[in-house]
Amino acid sequence: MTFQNPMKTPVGFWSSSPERHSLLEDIQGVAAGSMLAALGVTLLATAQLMVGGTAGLGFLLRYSTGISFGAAFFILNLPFYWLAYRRLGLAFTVKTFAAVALTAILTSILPQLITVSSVEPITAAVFGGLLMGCGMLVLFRHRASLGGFGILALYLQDRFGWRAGFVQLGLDCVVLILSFFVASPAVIACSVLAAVTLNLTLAINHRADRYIVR
Amino acid sequence: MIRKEWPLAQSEQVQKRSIGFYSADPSKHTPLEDTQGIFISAMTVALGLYFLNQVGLLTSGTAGVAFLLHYAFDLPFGLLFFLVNLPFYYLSFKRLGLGFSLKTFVAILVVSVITELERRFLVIEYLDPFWAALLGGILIGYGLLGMYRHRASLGGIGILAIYLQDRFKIPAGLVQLGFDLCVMVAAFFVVSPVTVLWSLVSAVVLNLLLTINHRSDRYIVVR
Repeated sequence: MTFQNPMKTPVGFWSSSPERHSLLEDIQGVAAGSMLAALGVTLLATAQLMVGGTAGLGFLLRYSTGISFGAAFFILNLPFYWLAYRRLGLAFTVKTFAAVALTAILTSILPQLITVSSVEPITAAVFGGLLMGCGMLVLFRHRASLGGFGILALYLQDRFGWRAGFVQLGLDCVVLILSFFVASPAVIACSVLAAVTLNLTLAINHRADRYIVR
Repeated sequence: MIRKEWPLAQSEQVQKRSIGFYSADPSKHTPLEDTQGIFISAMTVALGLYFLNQVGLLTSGTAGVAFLLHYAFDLPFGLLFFLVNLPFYYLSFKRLGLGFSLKTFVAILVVSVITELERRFLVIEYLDPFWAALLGGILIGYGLLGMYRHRASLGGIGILAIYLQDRFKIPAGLVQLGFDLCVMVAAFFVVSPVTVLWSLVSAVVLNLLLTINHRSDRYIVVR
């Protein structure tokens, strides 16, 4: 038997339209994307680094108050689901909730399963940023996100015409300034490196005209 | 294969947004896009291989063969991985072109070097075998997916698999799965049965991820 087309293979898993993901495709995408993101968070946390977004706020809370990153990240994202539901629809909101919950849970249990005894901060920044970037890329391509600022930025762009990119940049700068209270300049330099790696990975590779699912 | 005709307005918009890095045509990658794609993918794969190596697991394709030799003779994995892939460049050059072969050569070189270097900068003390298998499989799977989408591979069986997919339309994931089963059988002679079991979990995760996600009608870059 020859396989005419991967989508016609008799497994019943694939969506027959290249422009749609089937439910199972979305589930594996969200699950695997969250795992990448959670692994990235774990690496960053091992070196006490930070990033932007609600994940950055989660790190701030963890380093300043000692509550777990997973709990902080999950709680910080709660206010944004209403906006997400209003602006981006139910499917996006449900997938984002699942991705945030899974990332939060995994970041809580991963440190018990992987013990990194020492990591060089620049390595942690590059690998952590890269893994979070790849994870978010997968989530974006499956029409989900890791919540928070991205949703707020999209809403503000719709409502007041503020450019989403600048809003996100502004919010991330606020996180960066706040992080000066809990971290040393060297740590912050590495955190900026992680954030740049993350955002470059996304900016270069997230093209809706190339990965055509909508 | 389904191709979309892009409205002029949209392609103009893409062109306006481009800063010399992006390809204006969504069905092409620029050399810089390919470079970053291959580096990112190679780093992801190298981290996955490190996880597997840490627990003594094996994986797919020529990397699996390199792991077998690594565990059997205690030679450096990076070097073995580089050497095992050398014979396949001829097939790659003949069948898949110079661009593909060069990109694959670079990808393998970068993976070999990073796997040898990363243990100095990232020391893992304990790793749960199941999670090593799962995360290793996912990391290597996504890395390979990135390489395939940038028309590169990690050599050896990947080249054979892509060739067979292009030529006979056999999904690349299934060819890879067949070869991996052979590696796993050979692994019984080198490592413990439990290790082989976890390696199998890892290989299944890797190949499922590739089989599900590698669709050339969805990620529309042609070469």
